[in-house]
Parts: sequence; structure tokens; C-alpha cells
Amino acid sequence: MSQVTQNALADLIIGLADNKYALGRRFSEWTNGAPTLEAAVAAAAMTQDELGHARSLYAALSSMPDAPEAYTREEKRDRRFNLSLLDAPFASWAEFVAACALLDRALSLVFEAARESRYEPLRQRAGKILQEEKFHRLYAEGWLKRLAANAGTRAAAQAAVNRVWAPTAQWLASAYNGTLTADGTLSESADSLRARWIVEMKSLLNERGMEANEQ
Amino acid sequence: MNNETILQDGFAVNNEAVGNEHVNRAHIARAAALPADLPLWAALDDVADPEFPISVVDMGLIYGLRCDGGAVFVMLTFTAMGCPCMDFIVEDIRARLLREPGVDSVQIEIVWDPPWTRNRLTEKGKERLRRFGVAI
Repeated sequence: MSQVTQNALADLIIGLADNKYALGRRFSEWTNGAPTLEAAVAAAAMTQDELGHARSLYAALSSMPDAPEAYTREEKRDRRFNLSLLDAPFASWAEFVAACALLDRALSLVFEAARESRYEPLRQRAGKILQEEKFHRLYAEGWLKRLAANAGTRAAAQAAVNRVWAPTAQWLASAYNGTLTADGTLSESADSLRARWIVEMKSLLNERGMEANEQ
Repeated sequence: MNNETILQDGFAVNNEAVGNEHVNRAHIARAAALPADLPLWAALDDVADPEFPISVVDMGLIYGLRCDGGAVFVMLTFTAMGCPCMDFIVEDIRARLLREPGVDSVQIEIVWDPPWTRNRLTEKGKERLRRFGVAI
């Protein structure tokens, strides 16, 4: 693997790991405050999954011989690569649901592109992460439907979707560069993933009487 | 980030027990796979999963067991990536294998492929779980 590819791969993995970690932290805040007891349990389970994914990705990164110390050594990390919308707690349960439905799904699309990766540590983890993410997706889509069924909660859900949409779409388009698709680390370009995400999300939202805000 | 590196048995390990690239893969490849009836498998059968009353072997967590002289290599998976018992399981496996005569070192590689499913449970494991009221 060339140095350029290794650098691109390290950039990709730190982005995925930091987003998983931040998402886990944000999910954890709803283990005590979700609208139902069942939702609190789900938030706890999804927290555990996301932090587990992050842990595994950080381990993959630390095993790369040339990974920058700014990524692998906690004391040298001067920035995190998660979306800024994950820097503060979700303001509402609707934001939890929107982040799970849109952002967590966007992260999963990258792992789908890594399912046949020629970089084994990423390929191995992708399969397991996608196995676990299946339930997150079902859960988020179910809650989105539930929130959209009522005019009052639909407005809150729409506002949350609007907040998550643009930064997620932007992140997905820049999550990695062409180096990783050219060398077989990922099977699909970031632009293509973003386009697929938009189609999927529009369908998800429209089925629930909601809209995609592409501004 | 919680993946501090420590040294044990001469190899770097981290909080995912052992990152895939920290183990000596060439050495693993040279080591002989051990048939299921050998004592090291029986030793692993003594290691209980902390959450269920069955062994890590019956849980289907052991994807491979190899040996080269006194060096033992274990390919281990977990039921979930967020398993809170990873460190316990790894250390229990290591400690139990090091009690076997002739075992000088134990290297444990965490593998995720294929992802664990309940189909990995042995028949003995399924039976025990049913007796404890776990639906299989």
C-alpha cells in the first residue's frame, strides 16, 4: 500500500472512529431521559454498540504502522474529526432519532463500501459493524414513523432532520478521496455514496410525510 | 481514546485485547492448527463466558487454535463489538492456557469475520443455554 493510500486510509478511519465515539456519547445521554423505558434501553444498547465500533476502529488505527501520532496517541490529539453537530448533546429525542436515521446510516454506507475491502482490518470490522447496525436502522426508521404520525411531533422531527441533513451530506461527500476507491480499499466513491444516501433518505422521509431539506 | 498499549509476553496488545496487526501473523501461519481433541481445547473449555454459563468454546468464540512449540495462538471473536467483558475473557483465556504444561506464551488475535451468530454455538452450548432458560 502506498504512503498516499495509507494516509488516506488513516484519515478515513479516524473520521469513522471519532464519529462513532461522539455518536455513542450523544446516545448515552438518552439512557436516562428517553421518552419511554424501552427507548432508554435501546439508547443504552446503541451506545454500547457505537462505543464498541469506535474502540475497534481506534485499535485498527493504532495497528497501522504509519498512522500519525496525532491520531493514535491520546495526548497528541488536538482535534476530533466528528461532525460538529455531535459536539453538544441532542436537544430533543427527535434529534436522537434523526441522527440515528440519517447520520448513523451515512456511516454504515461507508462500511458497506468497505465490505469487500482489500484492507483486511477494515473489511473484518465492516461486516460485524453492519450486522449490528441493522438494528439501529430499523429502530430509527420505526421511531421516525412514530414521530411523523402526529402533527406536533412531526414538526419536531422535521426540524431535527433539517439540522442533521446538510452536515451529514457534506461529511459523506468528503469522507474520503479517490485514492481509496482506486486501490480497492472501498468499492464506491464518496460522491456516489452521497447520491445513494440522498435517494434513500428522501424515500424514507417522503414515506413518512416528511421532506428532505437540501439547503 | 482508550487503546493504551502494554507489553505482555513480548507482544504489544491493546484494549481490543490484541489488535490484528500486533500479533505475529507469519508466526501464526507457520503454527500448526490443533485438532479439537487436544488438551489445549479442553483447557479453553474451562474458560466460562462471563455472561452465560457456558464455555467460550461452546459459545463458538474460538475461531482458531494453533501451536508452535511453546507459543499458542488463539483466534477469538466476541458476540458484540461493544462486549464489556472483552478484557476479562482475554485474560481468562491467557491465564488458563499458560497453566498448561509446555505453554510459554499466548497470543490472542481478535477476529470479526465471519461475524458471530447463534449458529456458532455448539450443540452442547445450545442445550445448556436452553436449560438456563435462554431461547435459542
